[in-house]
Amino acid sequence: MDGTALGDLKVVEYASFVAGPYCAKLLADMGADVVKIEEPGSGDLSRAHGPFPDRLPHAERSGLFLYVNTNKRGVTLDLTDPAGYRLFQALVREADVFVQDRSPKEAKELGVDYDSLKGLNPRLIVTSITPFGQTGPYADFKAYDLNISHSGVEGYAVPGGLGHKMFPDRPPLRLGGYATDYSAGLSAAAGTMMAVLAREIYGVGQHVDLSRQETELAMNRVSMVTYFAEGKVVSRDTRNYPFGGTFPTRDGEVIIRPTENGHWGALARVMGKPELADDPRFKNRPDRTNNSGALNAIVAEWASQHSKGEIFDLCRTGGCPAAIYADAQEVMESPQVRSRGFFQEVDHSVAGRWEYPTAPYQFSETPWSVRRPSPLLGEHNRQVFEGRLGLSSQDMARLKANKVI
Amino acid sequence: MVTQKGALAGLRVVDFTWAAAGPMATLYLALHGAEVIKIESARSMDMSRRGYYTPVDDIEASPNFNDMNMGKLSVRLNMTQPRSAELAKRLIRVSDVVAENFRPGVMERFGLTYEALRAVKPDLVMLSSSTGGQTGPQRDLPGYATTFAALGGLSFITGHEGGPATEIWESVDMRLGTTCVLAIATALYHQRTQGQGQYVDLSSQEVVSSLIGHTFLEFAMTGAAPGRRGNQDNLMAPHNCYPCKGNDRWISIAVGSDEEWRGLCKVMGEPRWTQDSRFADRHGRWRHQNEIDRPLGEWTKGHGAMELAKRLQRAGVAAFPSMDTADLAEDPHLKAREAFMEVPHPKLGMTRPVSPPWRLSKTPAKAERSGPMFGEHVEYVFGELIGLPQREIRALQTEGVLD
Repeated sequence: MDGTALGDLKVVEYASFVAGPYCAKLLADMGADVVKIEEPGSGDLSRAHGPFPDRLPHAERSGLFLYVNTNKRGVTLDLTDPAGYRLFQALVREADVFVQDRSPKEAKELGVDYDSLKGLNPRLIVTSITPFGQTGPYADFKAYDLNISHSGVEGYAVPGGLGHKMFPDRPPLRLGGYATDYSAGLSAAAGTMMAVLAREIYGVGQHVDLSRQETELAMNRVSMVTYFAEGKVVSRDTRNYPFGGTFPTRDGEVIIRPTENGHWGALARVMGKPELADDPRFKNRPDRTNNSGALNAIVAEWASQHSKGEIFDLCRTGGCPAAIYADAQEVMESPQVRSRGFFQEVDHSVAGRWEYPTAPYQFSETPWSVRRPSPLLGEHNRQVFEGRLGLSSQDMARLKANKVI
Repeated sequence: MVTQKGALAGLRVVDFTWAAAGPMATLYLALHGAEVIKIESARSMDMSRRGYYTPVDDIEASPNFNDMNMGKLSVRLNMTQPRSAELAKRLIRVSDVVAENFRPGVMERFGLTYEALRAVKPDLVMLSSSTGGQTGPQRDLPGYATTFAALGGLSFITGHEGGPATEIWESVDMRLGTTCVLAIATALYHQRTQGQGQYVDLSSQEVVSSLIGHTFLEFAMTGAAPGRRGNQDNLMAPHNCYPCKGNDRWISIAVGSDEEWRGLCKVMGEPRWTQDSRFADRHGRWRHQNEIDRPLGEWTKGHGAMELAKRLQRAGVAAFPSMDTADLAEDPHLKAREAFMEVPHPKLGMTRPVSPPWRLSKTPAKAERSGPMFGEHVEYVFGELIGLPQREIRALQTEGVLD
């Protein structure tokens, strides 16, 4: 026992940008021993992406790379070189999980697909993360976060409400901040853990085929039910609350959701109009839906007289769901988030000390921890190739000269 | 080898979750073979059964309830009755996992804290999901998907440039639910390999923040909180949604490399405007993306979204229609991948719930049954599993305990 949940799982990652690396990071953060393989020279795409301290690009200082690769070891390896591919096989032979994000066609050519690897190790789990999955007519289609965000309901219906009213001619939008890509990585990690648990029972590995499109589809299952059951298509035009929603305040917008009767009662009290709780126009949810215009006018009038912080605090203490639209700074300064220690400082030899988000779940016995910051490009080549695979320093020099590592 | 029993065969989950994210998490466990026992009561019914998403006349015929509760069992147990905690504990003694998503403090009122439950089941894995977690000054805050998305920072960075922050709907709950699945599975692995159970305290707003994690480093590193940039990217251009033939039809096109740009120009038929020297490299295209978006959108307007996406894909360009639910329901690719399951329901007929987004080659997800009727499995759970005689079950029903 090393105080982590996944301490005895060995993972090899051959993936870039957000989805694949985030999948492996989620396992690494809970203790898995992850070796990340990057292309010699350039490395992971996210290294070039930033954000960078003071906006100065530097491959070891990209905030995106740093966040998505904590707790991993990093090696460089050219898989198209036969010697490089042999080293890769040696790594995978010892691994429990291999995570890769190449298109089905490319994966086959490179020999990183499940069929090429399963013979090495019958207990191996291979997780493939691709835009549209391994099979079907779009299997080899290319897609970035933008395309996937629009491929499974979400993008088509964003933004509803005020944003669409203000700009009815502008296009539908993706989710910000690569939330779509992160979600694919999250789903891949969950699917991988299903396979890991299956192996505890049946003793064999298997292939986990993760479709990024289907991740969005699954996240939007409620909208799919609406279509199958009622034939209704959600769009930016239909994304509106029957009552409640977004209201301007003195210093920005808040969201207020008096959905249940208790919530409405609480809101009525904090607005200083407790009599509205039993007002027949608003008493039950269908009443509030039918009289949404009157209800929203009352809430809007009240909201306009306060700051967003006041409204949030009043609703929170009163018991009505509400929120401010927090920006990054407001999230980081939230007393709730701070009191839980969600952000923790991580020290990195080149990038320096910054606060990183940790994990959104607190485990009582095997808590999140930083065992190592994100790896420098090729930082663990010696440790892994010499230490684990038994290469000599002459072997290493030759591989380096040939740009294999 | 394909096993019919599933990745979680033999696992028993006592499921107190009642709202969106929780039921979705235990849905995935049920689809992988866990026996999930849903605790409901007339007082406190699953929110989708009551018609939260779409009003229902019949609590046994909610399409959303079916969708999020396939394969589970249901019992009625009124947790406000003094005898109920003891009955719940007897069930938990023969189970592996407890999941709940009440407001913090509710399980305590029921007498079902992790401490109390560990006393009857020492290696129990228990997950609590709430708005902001079980601790902290704002732990009492109730919430929904849209408030989690707002508090976590995702709404702020989603929206039109110059427009307001965006309400983000139910999909946030499913992102939470998926996180719950990962957390439960991780804790279970530890339990199976090390014999130790644990308590998992999940914060919904932190889940949202973790899915945009680098934006906080951006604020720390640059001193500026990221704002709303529509469909735009930090490096790629063109990178937007463009109108297509039909009403509210759109195609997303993202161009990263020079090669992709050349592919796009070729499909457009190399019009003169594309030869502009400002668009010759990636940096120039990014700086002048508005000048690209206009003529590109004029061109896409004349084409059907899917037909154009296929042509662009053949030229190596990342393009795909902005899909609505009707497109997805009929899409041949998703059909070929069996992305929609077929699950018969006694009142709803054949339903087509979305499959989990992962396909496990040897232990695939599958629904053994539709969403349960309210309290359908009382005999099995209270009779068979914890051994109450029929007579006692009837008495508990009459007394309002199993209600």
